[in-house]
Amino acid sequence: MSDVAIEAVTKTFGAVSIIKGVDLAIPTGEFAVFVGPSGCGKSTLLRMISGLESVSSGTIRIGDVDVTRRPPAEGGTAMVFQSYALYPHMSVSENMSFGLRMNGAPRAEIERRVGEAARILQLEQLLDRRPKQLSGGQRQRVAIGRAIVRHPKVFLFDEPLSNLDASLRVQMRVEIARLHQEIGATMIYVTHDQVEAMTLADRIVVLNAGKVEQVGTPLDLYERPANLFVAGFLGQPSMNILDACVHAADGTQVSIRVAHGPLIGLELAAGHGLAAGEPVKLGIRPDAIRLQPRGRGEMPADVEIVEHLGDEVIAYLRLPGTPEAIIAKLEKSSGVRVGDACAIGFAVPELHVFGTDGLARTRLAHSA
Amino acid sequence: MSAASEHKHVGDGWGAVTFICLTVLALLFLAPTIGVLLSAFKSTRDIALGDLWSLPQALYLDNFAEIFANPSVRIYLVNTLLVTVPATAASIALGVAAGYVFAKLPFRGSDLIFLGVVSGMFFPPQIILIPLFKLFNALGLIDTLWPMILIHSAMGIPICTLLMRNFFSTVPNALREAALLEGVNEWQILTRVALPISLPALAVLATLQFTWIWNDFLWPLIFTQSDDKRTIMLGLVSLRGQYSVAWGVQGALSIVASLPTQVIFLFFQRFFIRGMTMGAVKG
Repeated sequence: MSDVAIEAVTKTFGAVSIIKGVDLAIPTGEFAVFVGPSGCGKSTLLRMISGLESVSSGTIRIGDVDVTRRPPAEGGTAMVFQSYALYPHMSVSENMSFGLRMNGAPRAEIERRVGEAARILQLEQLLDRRPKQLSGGQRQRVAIGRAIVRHPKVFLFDEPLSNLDASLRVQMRVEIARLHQEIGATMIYVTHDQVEAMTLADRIVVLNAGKVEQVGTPLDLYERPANLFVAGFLGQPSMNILDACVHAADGTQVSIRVAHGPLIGLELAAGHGLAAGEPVKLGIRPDAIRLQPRGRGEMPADVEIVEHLGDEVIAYLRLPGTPEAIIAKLEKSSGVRVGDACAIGFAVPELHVFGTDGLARTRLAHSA
Repeated sequence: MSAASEHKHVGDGWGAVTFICLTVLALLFLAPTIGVLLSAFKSTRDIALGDLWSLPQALYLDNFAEIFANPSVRIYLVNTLLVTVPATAASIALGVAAGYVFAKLPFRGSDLIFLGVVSGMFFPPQIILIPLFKLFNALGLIDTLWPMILIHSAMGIPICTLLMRNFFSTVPNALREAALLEGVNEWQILTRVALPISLPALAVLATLQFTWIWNDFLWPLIFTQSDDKRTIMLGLVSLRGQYSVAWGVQGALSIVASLPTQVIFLFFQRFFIRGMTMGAVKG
């Protein structure tokens, strides 16, 4: 168990810059999740922490030790790979004990550690099996077991559930969360699945194009995204982003006119830098949208598509005469149907304001 | 007739044609072997009277008795083993080492070096025959087994490197990385992880190299002079008399000479199993 400190770390392949200066501190015992779209550098950053990938500049420290230029084994990390990476010619117990055996650990110690990992992961019945005789979930448990027996300072998970089917993924997700509670080690987990990120993380690190966009608790990021990227990336369906324009700005009081829509008054923290006439983006989560009868709401809309998900309904709305589409997440009792002519009402307290720089402006209080 | 049954009928027709073609080819390839096999069990008189394909009048085993009684044959077999086993082992060992580096530890320019090594396969041995003779003559190794061992070890490197490099490329990188993270060194990864799952490739190489070196005729012909340094293939030719060809004895020795390669094949064929990497990664 240890804290991980990443300072001004970069990674370049020739002229291509993959990681563009990342600073990050992960406290001891934290479950940190790196999340971001494909190619954002999250796996590269994880591999740099493990030592499998060289660091172009900057430093990585685990505990008090600078591991930037150390060989992989000396960093004290253990990694669980997406592909499991089990040795196919070895049994489950041989897979788990391989590293210890190669490093000359005493036999009794090896047996004790393998037994302990097998107990934690309920692998006791499978110790003599070969990987090909195991299901995907069991293989992934063995891969985690192989990490546990090393008693690493930091566990690294590289998209460990991507190869599993949906139901098994949920089950393994719970098991990983339970494992973290049980052994309390520092864990860094890479995924592109925001549900995994939201459910597992103590803190989420959102990466995009080799840079950290925002770091925070799952709720922090969901409720107060720092910029348009984080706002659009977290949340399913994505946040609706509407074009708008500053109508008037007087100190912290700002009124904003939504394109094809109403005038909304908000109070923003000082230093928002918005001036009358300046274009802005308004963000609103699908679950903050209310559907009202046409004429009563602020923005008329037509229901184009309705998706029934059982406990809720996703409605795709189009503003008449515009190309803009808005997604609403409604209760199943909403009774919305394709072709309904309705109007959109905003829950103003839940509006997010982004400037032309893409950064969020902090809300102070709410006024309609 | 339905479309399905018509299709089946056409398929059967092609199947029969293919079967006949393959049978004819197989017989053509087997014919010389069958001829040699038959003459091994015929007396000299039997051979002189009949043709190559006639069945022996009686099962005649004296040809075998004669070659087993011949002390030279034992020397030929031992010499051949002394060349084949070390040269096979050396060429495979070097090919494994080089193949692992090219597949898993590439460095700047390694692809070019790999190309250079593999292009060695395309040199006809005749080109290097005279320089090699001069070299081994200068080293005083003519009429010893060393030239054959060294040449076969060296000439086996390209094919062994190519095959092992290609096989190691299919071993997932994650296996090596997982082992590296566990503090396992590169040599242990090669011997404990990469090689055990490369048994099919090793089996193919061992069979190929053993057969090729065992059956070699050219290099022993060039580098050996005395009878006690001959390998089995040279011995086979030298078994004829001054005025006659002992077909029966040569046939018997041909069969004996081919036994080790058959045994090697039978031994290794059980490792020719695909899917050894199954279960290593997503499967």
